[in-house]
Amino acid sequence: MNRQILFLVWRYISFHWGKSTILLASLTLTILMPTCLAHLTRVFEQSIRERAVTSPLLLGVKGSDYDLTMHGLYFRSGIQDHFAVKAWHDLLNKNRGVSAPITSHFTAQSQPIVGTSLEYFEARNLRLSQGKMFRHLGQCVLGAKAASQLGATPGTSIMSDPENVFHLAGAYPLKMQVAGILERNHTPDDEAVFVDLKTHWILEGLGHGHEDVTALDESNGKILDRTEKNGHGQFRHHPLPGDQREQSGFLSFPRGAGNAPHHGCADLA
Amino acid sequence: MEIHIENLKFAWPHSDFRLEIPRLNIGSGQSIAIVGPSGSGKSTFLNLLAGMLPPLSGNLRIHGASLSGMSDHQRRAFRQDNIGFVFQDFKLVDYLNVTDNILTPWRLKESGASIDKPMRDRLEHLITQLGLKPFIHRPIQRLSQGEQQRVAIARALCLKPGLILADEPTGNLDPSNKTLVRDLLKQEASQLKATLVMVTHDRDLVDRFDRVIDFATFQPKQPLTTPAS
Repeated sequence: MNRQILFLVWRYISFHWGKSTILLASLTLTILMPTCLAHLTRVFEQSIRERAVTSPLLLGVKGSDYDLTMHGLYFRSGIQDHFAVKAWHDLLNKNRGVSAPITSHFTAQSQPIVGTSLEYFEARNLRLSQGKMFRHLGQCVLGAKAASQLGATPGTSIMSDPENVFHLAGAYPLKMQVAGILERNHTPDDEAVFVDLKTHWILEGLGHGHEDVTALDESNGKILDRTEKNGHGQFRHHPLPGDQREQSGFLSFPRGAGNAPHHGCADLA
Repeated sequence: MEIHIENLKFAWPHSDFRLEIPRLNIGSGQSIAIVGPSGSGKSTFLNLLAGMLPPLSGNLRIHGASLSGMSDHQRRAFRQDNIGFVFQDFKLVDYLNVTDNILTPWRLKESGASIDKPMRDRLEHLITQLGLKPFIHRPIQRLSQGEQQRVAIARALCLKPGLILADEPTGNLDPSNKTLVRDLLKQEASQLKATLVMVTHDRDLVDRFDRVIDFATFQPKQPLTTPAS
């Protein structure tokens, strides 16, 4: 553009500086917004994919891939159908790799409570920054952000949120003892309250402990294992986590599969 | 710069107004005063001469160039090179001061160059002649109507045009300044050997012009056919 026209433009901008500023800001927004949105979408997509890439296989019953992924990887959304716990045990028995159940139906002050097994921490390479891993019914391990949100430290207790105040036959809030707090790893694990699968069943009203789980005596043998001692009925035949409608899925890390991502739904039940 | 008009017709769409000039010749260097009642087409005629309005039909030639056959872009270029126009409502640029307003035609024409000595001398001459020296850096809004009128005249004369068109340039001035502005326009036109066409309502000012044209004579009896109709 030539000098004289630039001079006139400059004088116009100087004189109508308010109008020009608004116009310039509007133009900048108009031009930059699509670029910024595209960038943010790329960053979001990358962030979403990163977690998916570290989960070689996500198994769930036939249904929505999206719901299964959001439920299994981000502890969000709900899936209506579920596996029987036997399917998970069968997978473990086949010794095809590391697999962990994922079920999340409850919250503690809006932080998702995730029922899983110790294999999950091994597979995700999650380490404790404080305390110990849960070993008793009613104990939980908190993600770093969840601990900060709940203001909890090892030895303190947190309450699960009531599902429905007026549903007298439904699940009641459970007081859970904080066993440990995980190191921050900047994933959805930071926001979760992890409990053993059986504790999650108790939250659902499918089983309950026989002790005051916030004051457990470790010497009395009420240590979590893969037996069915801690609840009523044969957990082996329960769906994951119960025969009520529940959310459930597996995270499976097959041996020899490397990091090749593979997400899908499989009807293993 | 001579002007030849033959069977020139113009009408506004959806309006009763019409202008019809069968024949009109204006010699180079002449000074013409145009008078007539309001609505007789005096300002429209100046706009036709300046190429700001295209005629409906007929032939309009200025210095041998036919404006009737030119495109909008060509008419604009012709106006920039040959015509100085003093608008009735000045049309000064509000975000420029007096000096920059006077230099606007030069800036639009010589867009890449810096102001050279002949242009600086010309600017100085106009500012002195029109008594604008005390407020050369003043914003336009802070000038009186008379002062704005003089800035508009200086701008029209800036590029030494061959044809000066002035639409009631004395309309906002007191009697002494009216005579002063008329004489100045005449004097500048004479120095530049330019043709001067000035519209005025003031019959007292026309005595110093070479010719006086009364536009009441150019009102056609029958309505013209407009492009829109």
